[in-house]
Amino acid sequence: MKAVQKSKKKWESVKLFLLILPFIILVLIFSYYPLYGWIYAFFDYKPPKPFSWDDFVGLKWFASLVESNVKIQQIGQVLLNTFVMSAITLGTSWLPMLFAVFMNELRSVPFRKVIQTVTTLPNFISWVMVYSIAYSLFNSTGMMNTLLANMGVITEPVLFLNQSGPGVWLTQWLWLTWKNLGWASIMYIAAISGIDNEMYEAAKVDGASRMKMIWYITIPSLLPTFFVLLMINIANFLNNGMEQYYVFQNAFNKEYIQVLDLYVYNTAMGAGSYSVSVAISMLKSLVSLVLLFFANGASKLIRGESFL
Amino acid sequence: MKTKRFLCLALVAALATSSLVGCSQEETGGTSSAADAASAAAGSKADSDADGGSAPEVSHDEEVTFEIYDVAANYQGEQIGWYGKVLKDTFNIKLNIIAPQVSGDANSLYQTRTASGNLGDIVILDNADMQDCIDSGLIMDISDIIYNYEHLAEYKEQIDQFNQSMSVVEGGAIYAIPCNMNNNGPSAYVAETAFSAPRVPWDYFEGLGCPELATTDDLLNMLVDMLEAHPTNEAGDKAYGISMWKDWDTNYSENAALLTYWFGQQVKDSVLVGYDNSIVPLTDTEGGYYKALQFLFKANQLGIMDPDSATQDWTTVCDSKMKQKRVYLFWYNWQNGFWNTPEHGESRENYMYVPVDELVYYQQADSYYGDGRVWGVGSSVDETKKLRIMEYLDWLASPEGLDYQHVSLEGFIYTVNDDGTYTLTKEGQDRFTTTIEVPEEYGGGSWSDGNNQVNQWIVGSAATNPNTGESYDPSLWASSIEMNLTATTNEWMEKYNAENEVKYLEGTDQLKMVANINIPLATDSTDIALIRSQCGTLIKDTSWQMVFAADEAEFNSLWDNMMTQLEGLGWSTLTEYDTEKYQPLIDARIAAAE
Repeated sequence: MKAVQKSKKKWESVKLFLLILPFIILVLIFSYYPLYGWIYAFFDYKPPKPFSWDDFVGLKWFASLVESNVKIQQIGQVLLNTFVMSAITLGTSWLPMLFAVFMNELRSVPFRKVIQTVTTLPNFISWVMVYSIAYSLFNSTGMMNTLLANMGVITEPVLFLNQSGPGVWLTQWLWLTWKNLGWASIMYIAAISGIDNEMYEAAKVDGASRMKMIWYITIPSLLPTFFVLLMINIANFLNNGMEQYYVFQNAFNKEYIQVLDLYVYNTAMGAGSYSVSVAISMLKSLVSLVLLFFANGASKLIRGESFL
Repeated sequence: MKTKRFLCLALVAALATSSLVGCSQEETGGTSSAADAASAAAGSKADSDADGGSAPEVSHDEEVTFEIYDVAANYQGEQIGWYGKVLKDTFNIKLNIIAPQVSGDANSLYQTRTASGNLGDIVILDNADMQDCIDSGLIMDISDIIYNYEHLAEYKEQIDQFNQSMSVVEGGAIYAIPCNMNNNGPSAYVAETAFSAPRVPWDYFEGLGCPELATTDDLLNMLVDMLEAHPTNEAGDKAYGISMWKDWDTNYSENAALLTYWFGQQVKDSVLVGYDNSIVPLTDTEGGYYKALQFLFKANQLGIMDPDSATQDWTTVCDSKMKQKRVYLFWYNWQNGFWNTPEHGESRENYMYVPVDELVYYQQADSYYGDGRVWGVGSSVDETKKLRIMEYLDWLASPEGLDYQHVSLEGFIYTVNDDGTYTLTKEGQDRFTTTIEVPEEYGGGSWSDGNNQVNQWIVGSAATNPNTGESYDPSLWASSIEMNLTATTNEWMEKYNAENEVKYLEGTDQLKMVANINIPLATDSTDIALIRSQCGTLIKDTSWQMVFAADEAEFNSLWDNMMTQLEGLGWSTLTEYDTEKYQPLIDARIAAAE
């Protein structure tokens, strides 16, 4: 009897395992198999010549990244840009939550729908299109300059797109927020609809104001979702993408806009140096890993539980 | 509990991403297998006879699509319109153009395609890349068959010369056919205009009293006066003396690099090669690049520079500025085509050369031996397709094919005179300046959309057409020259006492001709390529910053700062490498001059 039960239990777990197997295979193929490509970082690989063991160069490309002060400075600036821009994004990642909360308070349903659509739409516009919008609005004879000139605010056109200095970080964050805010709030809107209505009713009976309900019911209920998303974002700290920065980059803002991904693209991929770009992306993965463990440790310390 | 929820969420996220990745993978797989199927279908009927001294006959029953990997193309996709119809009707072929320039990331497209082992059925590459591709077995040896084709055989001398000069080619193998060859000889130059020289609207210049310009400063001051007199175009849009664009930049600012021609030099990677056979680093402060930056910087200081220069692309500046007469200084000779027409000539509005005494113009002779790019046949095409391709290539080099490529449709764009020479029709004259609708019988659509999008020729337009005794280039026909004798040219000729720009510059000894040489040079090692790209990014960015610098002091400090950084990136290694790399070119020029 016991043996039958045991084998039944075993069969159950095999069944469960089989259910998840296809996904494990997918993850292996798409997330682990590509790691094989790291091998290129140790070779002098130059297409169209086929890959050959004769071209083994060891850690040469890693060393070449830091072989002179200029290069160290460059990498330093690039890392700074990456960290600052990611930090701004992370630091403001509560914005979508707040946006969702406020939108939820809108009583007029049609108005709410319109707002939601209008803010979600930019997410589906590609960065190339966003830049052409930016160019038409902000070039020397664009809408913005014409408007300001007609109002008598300026006499000479302002070259918005030629902006340089650390302000670039903020501008880029604004573009990103414009594009992403609505989309990012969807998850929170879904979470809000999952909050038990009885809590609000009880609060109302107790005479809580709308602000109090937001502060003591909605936001605390959203916090677990917020923290999970935050964790995922931290692991992606270095992956702030490159399309946005690629289309917006020019000679004037290059110093502050060049993030790690764009740097890899500008210095290595564009010049046909596969090996060097692999070397830089490897470093990137390592830093990401460290950050993830750091975030995990911090969570353990602060909230008493870890994710890994 | 919360941990579990997190794990669930994380798993869902991971699966969503992996399934998305899966989708995109499948998609690309789908298209490539479709292409394979198409090429397999194309190759199913074999009808070949490669032996014997004459070109083999091939059947045109089956439609074939040639995939052309084309570094010169500005258009990606199927060749459409009137030229597409000509190819379809003549050979039953379609062209699928792969354009790295359009793809957004030329280098990675090249890398992925070469890594996959199939670059294209036909490839058009720079000389150096062609050597690499031959070395990697991506290109087919066509020596067995090429000279069976009558028109290709006419260029045997040039084709042999080029293939033998490649270090990777052994024996009598033929892999590459140079681009833009001609039949006029290695030091001929047939055009009426120099490749680069300052040109401005004639009526405006004449309105200023045709001031004598001794230096580039005079040129700038003249442009200031011109802008003062004509601050906008006729439509009222703001005009500029100089407008530039950022998207052609490579390892330097392309606009500044072009202006080095005015100082008797040409930018070759990290060095400047002079007409006097000198080689100096790009960053030589006596060199043309520094002078060009100074020129552009002064232009900006004088307020005649388009402030959007650093953020706009070529299409914007060409369509919304050059074609609208909002830019007063043109510097490429082909730029004239965006404005100059017989009508504008008659109303004295055409852009014309204005002499600047201190300048000497670097000018390369017509590309008798080819221009640095080559055609090749992909090594993975099958025998049937190879014959179809060779037939097409031969047609490209034939007078009939060249008429289509360099002129266009007989009866619509040009007509044949009694003596056999050609004359452009009204449509022909306007083909670059306005949108010409092509009649349905010729394939419909607009003329420029249907024009040959390969944008590269085996035989250049400078070559002489044996049927007419004139060049293929319509602007050099006697009929066109006569037609272009407008108020503008007549006044210009009278004022400067010369038949055309080139004749004038030859008279003043300002046109410095260098012989045509076409030899493949070494490609970069990974180390050099890395230095090149890092230095290039720096030079490019600094160049733009210098042009828009607030004052002389900032201009100088930007330059000094760049020089310090360049040293840290290995600039001297790079210039030494390039000096050595271009020495064979100099040697060949000296030999050709003797």
